[in-house]
Amino acid sequence: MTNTTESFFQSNRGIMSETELEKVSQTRILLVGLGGLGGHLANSLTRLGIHSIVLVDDDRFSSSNLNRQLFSSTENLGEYKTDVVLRELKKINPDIELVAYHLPVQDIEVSVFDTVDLIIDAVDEIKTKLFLETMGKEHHKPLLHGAIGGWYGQMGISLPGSNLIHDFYGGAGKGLEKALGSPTFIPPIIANMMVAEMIKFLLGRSPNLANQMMMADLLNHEMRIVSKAR
Amino acid sequence: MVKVVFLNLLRSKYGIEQLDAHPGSIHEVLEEIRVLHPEIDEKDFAEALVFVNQDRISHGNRFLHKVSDGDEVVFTHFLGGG
Repeated sequence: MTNTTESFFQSNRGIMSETELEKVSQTRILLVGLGGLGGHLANSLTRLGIHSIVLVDDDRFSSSNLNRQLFSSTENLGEYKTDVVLRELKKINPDIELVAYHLPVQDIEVSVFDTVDLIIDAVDEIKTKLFLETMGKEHHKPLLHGAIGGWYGQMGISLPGSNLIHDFYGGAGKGLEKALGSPTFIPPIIANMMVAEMIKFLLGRSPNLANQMMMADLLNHEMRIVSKAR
Repeated sequence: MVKVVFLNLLRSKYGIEQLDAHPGSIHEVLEEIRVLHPEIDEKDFAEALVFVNQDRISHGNRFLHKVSDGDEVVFTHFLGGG
């Protein structure tokens, strides 16, 4: 363990034992989407001490991202999000192992899914969210799902074999996020709630969102589990 | 009675957190609620998801689904942003 990694453990102790911190940090992550949710997820995962992250996003930063996407700035508009995030994460922890694809996730080598322990859905297209659940099923990997819009968020963990995400979205039309917008403060809150759920899941702590979907309403002060996978 | 819960956008728009209604189809439950709250616009339910006792009800048939005494019905909308 390097000095950089050792220093992460200092302040993350308290809610986890040293063994638990080690277990969480050794989890290899595939993070798909580096926008509002994804940028904050990448930041928190790195500061948690995660050693290995595969980053996937085919988009570039634009001015409309500045209100909420953590790593966007006027200095990197037009750059691939993967390039910027990789660079910034290395500044936080130079020892972190990062692989980046500036491709749609559907175009990366399928074998990548076998090199990770957990897939994280931080994308903004429902068809891609469904694709990720399918890949999780085929490669026997759990999927941590997240979505946001307006004052609201939703999250859940789809275990391999479940249809949590397909059942949740199935048959319905569009999400509300286009009409509700993407305010500054929602991505970091929901992203870090997802990180908390990830930690609990990895450590087997209850309650956690394995095969359950929770909705968070920050306007009306409510979090509620709305569905469970059959 | 059936416990009816509005989440997220529906709650924000109508200020309704929870109501009781008589058992029946989801359509009948909504109609009963709209008698009590005529400000509710049925168009707001066009894309609403329906969960009964934490089971997602098939979208195409959701308004025909029957709910019984003691059931919990949640109306909400899904999110897709990232």
